[in-house]
Amino acid sequence: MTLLKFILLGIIYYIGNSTSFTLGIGYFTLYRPVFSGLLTGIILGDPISGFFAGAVINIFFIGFKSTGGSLKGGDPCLAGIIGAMIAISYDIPGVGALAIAYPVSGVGIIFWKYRLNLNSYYVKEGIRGLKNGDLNSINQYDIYYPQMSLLIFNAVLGSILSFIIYKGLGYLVNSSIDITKYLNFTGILLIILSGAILSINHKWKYTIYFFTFFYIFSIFFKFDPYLIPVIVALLTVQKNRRIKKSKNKFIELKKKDLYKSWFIWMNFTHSCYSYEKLQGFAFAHSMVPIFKRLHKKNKEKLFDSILRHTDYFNTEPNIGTPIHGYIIRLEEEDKSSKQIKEVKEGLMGVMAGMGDSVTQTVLAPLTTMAVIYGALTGEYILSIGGALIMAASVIYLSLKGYLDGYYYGQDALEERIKFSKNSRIVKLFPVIFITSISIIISKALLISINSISIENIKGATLSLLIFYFIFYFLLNKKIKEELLLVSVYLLGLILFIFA
Amino acid sequence: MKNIILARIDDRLIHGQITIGWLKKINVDTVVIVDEELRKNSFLSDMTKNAAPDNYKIKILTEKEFIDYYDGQESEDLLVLSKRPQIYESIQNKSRIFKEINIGNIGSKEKSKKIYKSIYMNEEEKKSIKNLLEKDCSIYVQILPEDSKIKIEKLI
Repeated sequence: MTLLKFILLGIIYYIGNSTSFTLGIGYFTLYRPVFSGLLTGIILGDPISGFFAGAVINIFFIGFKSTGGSLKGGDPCLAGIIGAMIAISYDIPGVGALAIAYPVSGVGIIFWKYRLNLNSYYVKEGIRGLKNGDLNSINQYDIYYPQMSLLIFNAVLGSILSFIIYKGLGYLVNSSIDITKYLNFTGILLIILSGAILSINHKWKYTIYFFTFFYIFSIFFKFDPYLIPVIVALLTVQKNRRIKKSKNKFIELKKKDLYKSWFIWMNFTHSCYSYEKLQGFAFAHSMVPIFKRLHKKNKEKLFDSILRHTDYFNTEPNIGTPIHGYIIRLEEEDKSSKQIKEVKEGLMGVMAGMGDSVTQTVLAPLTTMAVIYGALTGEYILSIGGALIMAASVIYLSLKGYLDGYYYGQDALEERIKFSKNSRIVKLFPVIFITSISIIISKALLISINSISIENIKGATLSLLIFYFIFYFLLNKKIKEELLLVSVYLLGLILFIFA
Repeated sequence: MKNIILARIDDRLIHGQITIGWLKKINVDTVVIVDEELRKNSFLSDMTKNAAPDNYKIKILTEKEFIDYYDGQESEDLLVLSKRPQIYESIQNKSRIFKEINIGNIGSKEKSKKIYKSIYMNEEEKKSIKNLLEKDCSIYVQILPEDSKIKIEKLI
């Protein structure tokens, strides 16, 4: 591998990790291993292997969520890059790549808190600039400085890590130890463990029966890979009842101001995400086009209004957008800043709690599973479909929220709650999730079992027994997940020595 | 008899860390929010109740209502949420209900200083925390169930 390629991998790490400039879609796509694996594959000249390795690694990260600036476990994007790189360079199967990629990706999380602390500094400087009457400082400190810092830092970290892993593993692969076999054993155990953890986290009484049934079903029967997605689509499609409330008319604002505001919000919600303000600075940034129109003749009021909105704010960025529309409406009606603050503070948590349980908990895993399944089976239409549905949902939910919040005010907020809570997809989620994940896990295991020279049916049965053991004896006894992860690496070693 | 499973200071009340973090790990019947302003605002309190996850009773109470409710006959397991330490302090002054309080998030505001990650406090809040500590209440920071507990004495 050339130096340029390591640097390009570092840049992919920046693109996925930043989640900016992608209208909010990047967090649900480029940040996930299946996509960062694909991008890595493109750089290294083998997109199919990269995509496949990314898909296997993504199974382990399917339950990934981040709420209010807290991040746990490994960095999914980094795991995809490292995993795809070693899978391609050393012809290691996806499961084996997972066994290395997962612990390495933990390094990415270590730096997360420094990013949020550095951004606290940028926010302070940005606010100081605004107070001095420099409107450009919000662009500089919400986009330019945090993104430049992140680009430099992630490019360096990503290149160095991939270089170290590449060289280190190269040394091991060329030695007399069959390292690939050890990694495959461990990776298979990691996939089984993730299946057990995902199953137990679903507080649904039929989980284990559904998992067993569909796992066995997919091992013994050949069926069309489009079958499950089509059934899911048929079960969950529903017509939305529109609100028939009186529609607010524009007073001074124009529709394009709302679009501009939405565009800034969606691109930069997490560009300068900081412990001090969370999305507060991004909220103020999104209000710039609005106040430029409303207070174009009153410079003092323009700056005062923008500064007022730099307060601490955090919500689910897509589902929560009726807040923005409603606030814009209240600003246009020149409501008191006390009333506006109360609405903003009262609603951010409400929409975050509900929003996270829709987008991060339901939509993202479902669409990502379609992408993974497509990658595993070679039916790439499924992957493209999953990605498009995710992208379309983000754009539709966020833009509709913005406009409805403005047009219908409180009614739009109520409607969004009803829409989110009555969605069939949310209600049917446990069934759909357990069905899909059991099929994906059995598929991934079947492909991987060959690599450790165990016969298919025997391997699949043994895997299911290990799954039961973890599910009933370890997870139910509340043994810590960290301990289980370490045990998996040790058990992989034992199996490797005796096999 | 009420059983407090978790009492938490979090100025965003029922947000993502509660719905997809804590409520997935602890078993409670009722989520009680103690907040005078929210209690008075019918739009916001309706929104809070409607958006909250199903399968839980949601109560929004004033401090006084909370004490009466706590002393009531019904047996329930509770998650208690409130925005500021002062609210817990004032309840604890009247009735020693809390043995343990968790701090999740307190956003930054004028004159507040960073304590830990997304927790910022001003002098008044620190004073309340100290008073609570003297009133047989242990206080710790733990943002998500997977995090380890950090005693507040180490941070302020």
